Amino acid sequence: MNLIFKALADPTRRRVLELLRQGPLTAGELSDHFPFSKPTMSAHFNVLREADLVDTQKVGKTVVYRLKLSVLEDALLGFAGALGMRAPKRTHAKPATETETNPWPQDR
Amino acid sequence: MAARPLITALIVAGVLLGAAVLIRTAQHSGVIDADLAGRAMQALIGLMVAFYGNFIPKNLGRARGIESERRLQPVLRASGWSFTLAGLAYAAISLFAPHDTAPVASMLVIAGAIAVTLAFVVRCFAARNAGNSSAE
Repeated sequence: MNLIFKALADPTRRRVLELLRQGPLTAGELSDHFPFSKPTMSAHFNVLREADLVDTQKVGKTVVYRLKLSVLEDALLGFAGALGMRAPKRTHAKPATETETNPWPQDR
Repeated sequence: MAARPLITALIVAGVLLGAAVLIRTAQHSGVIDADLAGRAMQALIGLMVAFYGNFIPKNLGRARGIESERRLQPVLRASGWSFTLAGLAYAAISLFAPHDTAPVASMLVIAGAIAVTLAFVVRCFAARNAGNSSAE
């Protein structure tokens, strides 16, 4: 349960889960929504995978992520989103630095 | 639960049987009356439905292809949520509703969950057929 709370505490990871609610996405498609580097996003994906909130499948050279939330975890995600901060949405004008948008950089 | 579904199912069955024995023992010793014993057993069944409904979106297998998964995901989420909420409602109705309405109301709640799931399944198939016909 600790892993789940740790995963849901970060707004970027919550935003990843919200994006996956629309359906499975590749790592590249997910990363396109964030101004972070690939290693940073990979670390976020690893936290989500360790918490068993996402499932991965290798298709050729790409990794496809799919949502793996139980109803309780889905409700926790909703509560965390409602009570916590919303993850930054990608702005094409000027990418923000990681420290500006990620309030918990030590999680990476 | 995903790694050990059989063990989890056996544990749930054990808990249900243990609870049934406890309730029957409490009834025979006069701690609770027959009405409350029956209600408690129905509530346990409702909680079991909620427990399994909770894991529906997490445990079912992969569809073939990303597009199929995109169509399937809302079905799994809707069925998980509807069965979890229906199970909790079933338990609450079994415990607190008047004796004459509780059986009908609890069955209606479960039927509602099944109807919601079927509606999403039909929508999923319709989306698939629409995709197939547009591809042709």
